[in-house]
Amino acid sequence: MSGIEQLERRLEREKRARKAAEAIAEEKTREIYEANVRLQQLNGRLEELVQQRTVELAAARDEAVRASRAKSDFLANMSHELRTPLNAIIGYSEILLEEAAELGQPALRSDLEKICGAGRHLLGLINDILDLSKIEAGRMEIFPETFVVPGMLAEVQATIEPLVAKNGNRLVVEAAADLAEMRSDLTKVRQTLFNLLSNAAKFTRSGTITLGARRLPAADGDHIEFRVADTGIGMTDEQLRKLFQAFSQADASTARRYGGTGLGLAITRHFCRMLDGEVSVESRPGEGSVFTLVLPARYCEPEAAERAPTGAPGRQGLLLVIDDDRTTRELLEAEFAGRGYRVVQAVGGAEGLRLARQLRPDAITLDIVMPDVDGWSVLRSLKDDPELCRIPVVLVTILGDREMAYALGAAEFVTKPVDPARLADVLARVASAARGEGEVLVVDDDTVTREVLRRTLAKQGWRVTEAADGRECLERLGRGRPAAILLDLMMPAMDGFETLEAIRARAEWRAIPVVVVTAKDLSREETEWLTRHAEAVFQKGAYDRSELIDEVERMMARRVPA
Amino acid sequence: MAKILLVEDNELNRDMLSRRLSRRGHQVVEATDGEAALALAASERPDLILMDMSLPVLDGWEATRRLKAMPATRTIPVIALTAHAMVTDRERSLEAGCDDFDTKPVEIERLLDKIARLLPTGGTG
Repeated sequence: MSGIEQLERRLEREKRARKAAEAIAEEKTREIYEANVRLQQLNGRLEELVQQRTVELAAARDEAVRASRAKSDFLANMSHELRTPLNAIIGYSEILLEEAAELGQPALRSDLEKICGAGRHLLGLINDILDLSKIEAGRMEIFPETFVVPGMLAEVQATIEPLVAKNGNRLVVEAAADLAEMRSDLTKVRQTLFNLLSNAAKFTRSGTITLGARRLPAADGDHIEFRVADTGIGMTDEQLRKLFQAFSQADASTARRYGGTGLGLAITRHFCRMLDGEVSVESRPGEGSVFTLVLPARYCEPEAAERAPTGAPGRQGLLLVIDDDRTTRELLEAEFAGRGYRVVQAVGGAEGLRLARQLRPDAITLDIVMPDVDGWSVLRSLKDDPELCRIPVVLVTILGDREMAYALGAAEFVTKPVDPARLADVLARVASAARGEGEVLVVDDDTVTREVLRRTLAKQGWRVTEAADGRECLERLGRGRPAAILLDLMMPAMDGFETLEAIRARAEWRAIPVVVVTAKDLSREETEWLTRHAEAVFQKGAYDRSELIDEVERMMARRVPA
Repeated sequence: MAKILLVEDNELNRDMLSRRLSRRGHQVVEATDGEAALALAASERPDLILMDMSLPVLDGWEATRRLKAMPATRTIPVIALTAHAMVTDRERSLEAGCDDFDTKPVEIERLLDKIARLLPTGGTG
């Protein structure tokens, strides 16, 4: 029996031991579970923190980019403003030089030459700053052309020779026989060589400066190598490292001794890279420097269409976005590219017109307040061009604003003096759609203009009613619906904008096509007035993007195949 | 010597250039905007036009386009005056029909060369 008891006791012990073990296991499991939960929480918080930090960083980056762009814009504007008075200083000192020579006053000559020389030096510096700010703002453009390399070298040589001679240096040009032609941005290549040569001249005394050029044949396209070597003071490794950075010369004392802003080489390298080339340098203190410039012999320009990063095939058509504000442009591009449109951007009125002529887009979105050529002038040029006048245009800055809906409500623009053929064309287009009864209402405060329009229209078979201002116009409309309205913008009492707004506010009048008649060349007063008007609206804040998209899509759908 | 129509809205620039051209025996007619330039080109029939491009009322590009579109003024050579390094302006001025261009600040000798080359009689008529 004792054997059984013994067994039972052992069993009992084992049971207890297992229970204890289970309890421990349970305890451990719980601990692990809790640790896991804590870990997950920590992890989650960490992710949250990372996300939050990422958002903050992105915002900070955007802010920095904006600030940098603002700085570049400021520099560009400032440089431009500085140049105007400087040009006057240089010009008048030159005039005085000529007059001093005529009057036989040689004593004045050397002082006047100093004023003139200092002015030209300052102008050079300002131009460098302007170039650099343009590069940094991404506004430096490339204009490739084909030119004869030896001819370009001769030109550079002639320009630089006086500067080289100043320090008792000799210029040697070594042009290989097979240079022939290259296609690149001539102005930038010339400026680059000029920069390197004037640097060499600055840091070399009674030495030799060599300008070499040769063709480097390659299967995937030849390159042209330019070499500028001097026997000047040379540079240390430390100096070489900082060489191509903006605003950095070897050291401050160099700047004092040799002058210059230290912008030349930074610009040089930017230019080379823009032209798909590279610039390199070898130098040792006391042994002179050799700058080598390698550029493709044929610069390949990216297609204008490739500027749209989407590269979408543009199934829906081509949209030209004209706006000086980059954010707006990019926003619109993203918006429309996503919908299958091909989008091309223009940074200002002038470029917009050029691209419109070149690309013939299916629709255009147009900003009104732009620094170079304002939207009104662009609109006018578009509507005046028989080849472009049918491209629908949306004025972006004022879109979605009820007050200014006239811009979309106005069916057409014609300009004074009115061309009868164009007027007939416009009316045929807009009035037929309105099922006209053959009556056109002319609204203009100028009796002569009304008279001329009346005769022109009568000749074309229209019945004409007249109104001298907006109020009279509305009165007339109360008595019957014309097929179209010709509306002057600048009128006393109630101007064209208010009139349009009033017309559009009444459901039964809304469909009457309104053709806005404006002076071909807006007077200063009118331009100011329009700009003020547009700006006032612009400040009212963001337009509704979905409305804009709807509008453009509507126009695209409506477009007449060319 | 030639009769030159100088179109420039900046008073100092206009005065400088006009004095220097007069000194060299040219007769200078001045306009301060594109529209006035069109009118003077038609009434004065200058031998050559120096045209600033950024002008009020009607800019230099448009003014040139119109000059070149009218039979009466089409043959008058136009030299565009553009700001430094504004290659876009240069391209656009040639596109608009300008016969040549020069950059501001004007280097008088270079400009006189260009003027002489464009005058039918080599600058003596």
